[in-house]
Amino acid sequence: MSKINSKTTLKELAFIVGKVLKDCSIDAVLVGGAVVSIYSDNKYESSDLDFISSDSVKSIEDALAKIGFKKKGRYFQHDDTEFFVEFPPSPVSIGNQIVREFSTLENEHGYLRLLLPTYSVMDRLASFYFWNDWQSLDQAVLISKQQKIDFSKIKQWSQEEGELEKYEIFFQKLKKN
Amino acid sequence: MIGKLFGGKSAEAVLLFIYAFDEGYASQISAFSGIALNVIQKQLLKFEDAGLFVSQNKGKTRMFMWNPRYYFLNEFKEFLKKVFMALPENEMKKYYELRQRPRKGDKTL
Repeated sequence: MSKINSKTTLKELAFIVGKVLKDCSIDAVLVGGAVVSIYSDNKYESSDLDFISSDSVKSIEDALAKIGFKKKGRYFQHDDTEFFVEFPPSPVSIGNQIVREFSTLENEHGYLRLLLPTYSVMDRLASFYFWNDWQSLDQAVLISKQQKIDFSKIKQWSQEEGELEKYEIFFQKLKKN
Repeated sequence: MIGKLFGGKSAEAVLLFIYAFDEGYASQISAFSGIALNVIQKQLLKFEDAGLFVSQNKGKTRMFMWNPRYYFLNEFKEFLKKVFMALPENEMKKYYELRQRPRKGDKTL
């Protein structure tokens, strides 16, 4: 497994953290902005890794200690990287939908379980729908341009959330780009 | 009423305040409930950590509100609605008496 240092990228770190969690039998899924970074070839840069896990804080703390992360308040920090790791509460959900299908990737740095591209778009759109966060809309577009996306699934979910109008804004923006 | 369920009076005070007004800040909830400011602050942070609340800085005030992305939010609010409606009349009155609507800047108090 790669060693963490100041040159470790967010993507590499995600794989390193994902591997140690897996080795410690902790189920964890990467969500949020870091997934956007990965799916957009870093066109969007996140500064943290958000993993969702239903395992205990103690077991996560023990696992991450193996690679030098220490818990400071809500975050896990490492002396040799500026990126930090957070564990938002489970379950993995987007609006009223529970997510049960994930993608798994492996490379020389480790292993990673993360949202599928379509769900990552929905994850970003949820922030646009609920908080009017236009940056998140941009991120949804970024992923959609680089990955294979199931738009019918997103449209149906948007309808169930009562957000078809904002889905149209997303779709128009995507067509313009 | 639900204090024991959630670990204390401060949890009940915070939940019912946010239920009634959709948002609130620590000193406001502390003054309203008569519970010490630091206790309310800790409780707000606990609910934020649990994903139930989010917070935003508005000027110098840290405002807490429901997290619309919290998976159990609708059901949780339904539960609180039932709790709120079961409050004794004198307690419920406190909520009606707190002015929330805007006041013109030039109007005398």
